Amino acid sequence: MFSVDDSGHEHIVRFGLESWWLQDPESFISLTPSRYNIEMLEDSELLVISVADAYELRDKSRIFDLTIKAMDRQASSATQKRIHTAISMTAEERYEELTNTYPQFLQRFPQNMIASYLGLSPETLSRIRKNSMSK
Amino acid sequence: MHEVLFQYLEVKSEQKLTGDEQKLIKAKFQPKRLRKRQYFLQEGDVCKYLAFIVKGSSRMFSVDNNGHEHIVRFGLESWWLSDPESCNTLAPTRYNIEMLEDSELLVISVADAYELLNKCRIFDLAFKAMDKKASIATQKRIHTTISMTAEERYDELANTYPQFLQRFPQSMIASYLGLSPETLSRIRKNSMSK
Repeated sequence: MFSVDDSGHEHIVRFGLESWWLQDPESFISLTPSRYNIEMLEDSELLVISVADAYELRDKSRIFDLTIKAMDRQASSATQKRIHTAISMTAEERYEELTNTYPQFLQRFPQNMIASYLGLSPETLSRIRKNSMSK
Repeated sequence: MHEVLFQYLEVKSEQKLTGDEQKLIKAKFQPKRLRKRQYFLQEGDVCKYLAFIVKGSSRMFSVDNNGHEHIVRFGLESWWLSDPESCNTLAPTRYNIEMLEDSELLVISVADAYELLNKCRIFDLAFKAMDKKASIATQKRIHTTISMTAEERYDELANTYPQFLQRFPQSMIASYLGLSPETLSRIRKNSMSK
């Protein structure tokens, strides 16, 4: 999921993998047009539900409601960690944190996307990877 | 003191609280006063309480190995204090929550909050509404942090949370934005001379 700025640069705000969810909470909660694109990076199979039906299911199915709540809690921990990482760590530390938290990202996504997700230039990330390999 | 919380829950849930619900909520939330510079949560402790800020303000920050402080969140009236990372996993928190002004809080244990979510539909609806708003705010903040220049990040903050600039010192605003105080000071000078 990424935005494109006025200079044509893409900024990846989120990745998605098996058992994760696709949506833009900014848009579907406030009903404003999204500023993001969600693009599939591999051939994918999805299960899709309308926002209205999702709200209805939360009212009707306790298990669905509990699951979404558990997800929301996990997501709030993950986003807080990501914000903390972004404001407090050096580029090197951010790359290491990502390697530890989401090792699967490095296997499945190209380096230029990893750089965008970390808010780094591809050149900076490439330098960091070279240094970390030679350690 | 609980009136502010009742109002908040009714606005968020778009429902009216019954007398019984008010009693239930009042029984679970204890008033607590903290002075400026007192801590609601300290690094190394498990976050077992949530608090609603009736009056006052706070910051939640970590301290790195070089002694630098990194502010991950501010708190103001009608906002909540907690570390979701620690609450959810029961792991010791890496953050401190410090009051920045003399403050009045309504405090509830995490266990009691879960109980209220089950027993009181309005409480549940209000928390769902809060979670939604929080997910928007955090996604925006991540996007701002990875995609914008220091100048743009300061402008975005000035538009989104103008009250931060009135109530918190520049050094804390810099830390919240992930900038050095020197960089922020340069940006402010330039934006004033525009």
